[in-house]
Amino acid sequence: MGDHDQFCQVEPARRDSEERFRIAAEVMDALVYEIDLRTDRAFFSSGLRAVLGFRPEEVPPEAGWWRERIHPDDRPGVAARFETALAGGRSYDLEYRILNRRGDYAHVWDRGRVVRDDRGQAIRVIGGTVNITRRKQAEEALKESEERHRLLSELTSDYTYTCSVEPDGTARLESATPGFTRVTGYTPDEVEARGGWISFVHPDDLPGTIKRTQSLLSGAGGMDEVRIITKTGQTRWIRYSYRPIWNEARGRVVRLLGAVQDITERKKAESQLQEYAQRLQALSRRLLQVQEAERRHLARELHDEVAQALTALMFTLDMTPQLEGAALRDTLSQAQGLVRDLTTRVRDLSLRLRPTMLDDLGLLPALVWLCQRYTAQTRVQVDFQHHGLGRRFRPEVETAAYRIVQEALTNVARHARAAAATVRVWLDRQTLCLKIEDRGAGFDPRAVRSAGPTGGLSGMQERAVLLGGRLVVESVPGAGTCVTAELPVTDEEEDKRNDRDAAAGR
Amino acid sequence: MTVTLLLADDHQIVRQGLRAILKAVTDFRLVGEAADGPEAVRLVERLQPDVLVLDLMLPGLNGLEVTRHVARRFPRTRIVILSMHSNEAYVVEALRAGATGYVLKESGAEDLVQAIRQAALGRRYLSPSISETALGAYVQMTESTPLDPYQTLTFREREVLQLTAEGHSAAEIAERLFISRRTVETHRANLMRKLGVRNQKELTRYAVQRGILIKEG
Repeated sequence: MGDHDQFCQVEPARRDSEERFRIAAEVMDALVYEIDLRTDRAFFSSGLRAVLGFRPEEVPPEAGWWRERIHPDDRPGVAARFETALAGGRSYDLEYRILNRRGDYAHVWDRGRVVRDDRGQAIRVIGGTVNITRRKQAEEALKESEERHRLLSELTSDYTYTCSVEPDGTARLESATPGFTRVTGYTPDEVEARGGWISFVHPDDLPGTIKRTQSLLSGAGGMDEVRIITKTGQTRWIRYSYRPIWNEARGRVVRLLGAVQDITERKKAESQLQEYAQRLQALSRRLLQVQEAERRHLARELHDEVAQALTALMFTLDMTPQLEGAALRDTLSQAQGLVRDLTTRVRDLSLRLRPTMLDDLGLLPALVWLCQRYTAQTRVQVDFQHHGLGRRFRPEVETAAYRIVQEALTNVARHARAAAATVRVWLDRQTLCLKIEDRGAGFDPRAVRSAGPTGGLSGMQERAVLLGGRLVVESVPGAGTCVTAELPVTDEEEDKRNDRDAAAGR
Repeated sequence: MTVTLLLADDHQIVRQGLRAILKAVTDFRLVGEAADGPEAVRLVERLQPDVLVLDLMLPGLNGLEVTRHVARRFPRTRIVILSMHSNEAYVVEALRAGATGYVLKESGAEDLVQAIRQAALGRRYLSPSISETALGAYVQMTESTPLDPYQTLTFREREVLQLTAEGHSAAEIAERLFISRRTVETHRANLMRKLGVRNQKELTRYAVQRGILIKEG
């Protein structure tokens, strides 16, 4: 039985050390083994029970028994490293999975020494194996929890970061999740090279950010919304919340943890909403002004023109009882003239308020009339071209189209100093398109827009937008102005209703 | 020859005045009066008058609708429109709907009598103050004109067309015009739809045909 027997037949002095060794191994829950490389026989200490659940006497004393229990996936790697150690090394250090008594795989840590003869030939290995399954499981659990944490942070923010804080207060970016580059365009290294994350904060937001950074060094957490400038030069809004980590021993903040969310879209929506609200306010103000001006004008017109003419008519008729013959005829024809004149004035007044034609006859006749009347009043020639207008549209669409052309032509007369204008109106599938163009003085649309919602332009725009359409004013100083509008002919709500009715078989 | 008449006007006082005028004409016989559009149509059907004297602005069914309806279903009944609108648009639309005469309310009784006599004979009659030239001009203006698709483009769309035809990419155009690439792509999609071209090749061909792009070589 060779070596194994030798191992058992020990001298008393050696037995003591054996005993100590056994106890130490038991305390460690370690298996101690020895393999005779020439015979492949193995000795397993009682620690085998702690590692795999077997008592040594239950198993064949062969290294082959052990090798075959190693997880098939780990076997080649273990064999290779073991061979390497035998070929020229002194020791080996392995981690692998091995089948235990219950039929599960246990994780073990196996370290051993190679014993050589005088010629340097490896003859034995002596090693120790510990069960590290619990540690492995703990590691797995830790990895899993880290993964969960990472997923959660990805779900709740666009990226998270940690910074180390130097004694002098400078914060260095330690780590950031991949979202960092998605949002900012920079890698963390690039940012560090540029002088830290403060380098991409928008200049306007910089003073506030620096102040906040100083306050968080005293240990206060918080959140803020700032603009940053990305690598491609875009401005984006981010919302960052952070917690400083206070080190009691050093009496200062040593680290910052933060989560960042890209809120550019939200900010955009907010500012759009605000702009709408402002525009709405400006428009309703203007609506009231226009209404008041219109009423003032009407009142004056009624008083000056109509009431005066009626008074004159009254005087004329008052005289008739005393008149006879030719004088009576003259006076009556004079009265007739006054009535005719009055009729014209009242009709003009009513047309200016709203051309009855638009309601009675539709858009095309009203536009023809508008163009003719416009030329007669302003001497600006209008080339009116149209296509597909031989039908009626929804009243809102007809009114909007009419008012847009009217407003655009009014602007031409007022500002363009042009001798002619072109009005094109056409139907493109379900969209009514308008284009009013002149080759006059033009203007700088930006200057006009920045001057606030000027009635004419924004009024036209509002009409188009209210119908779900759009309107563009293009103007080049010295080259002319072009107003283009697109109005959907069909009413979406109405379409939906019709669809529902059709579906219900009504 | 007696002319049978039906009178349709929603104003009692106007009907009263008209009745007085028409009764004074010996060869006219007033067979009925209507106060709204549907009643006018019903009475035409029942009484089959020679001439319907019709107010253009009638409640229920406006005068133009009544005219269209009567002209189609009872072509033997001629229609004389009575209107306060001297505007060509109304005159032309009334004639298009099938009216034979058009008389302004402000012109005298003689004018109306004249219009009825002419209409009974199937002859067109318009109040003297209505200008035939103006009618002609109006008719011309309402005629649909074939639109040049190029003229339907905005300034911006023309710029994008030109640059695209010259072979610039959307990114290059965006940079040159100081707009976003997406805006360029929207402009390009819109202008291609308006011009009816489907791809870059057709767009370039269009640009060459229009003389926007001078063909090289």
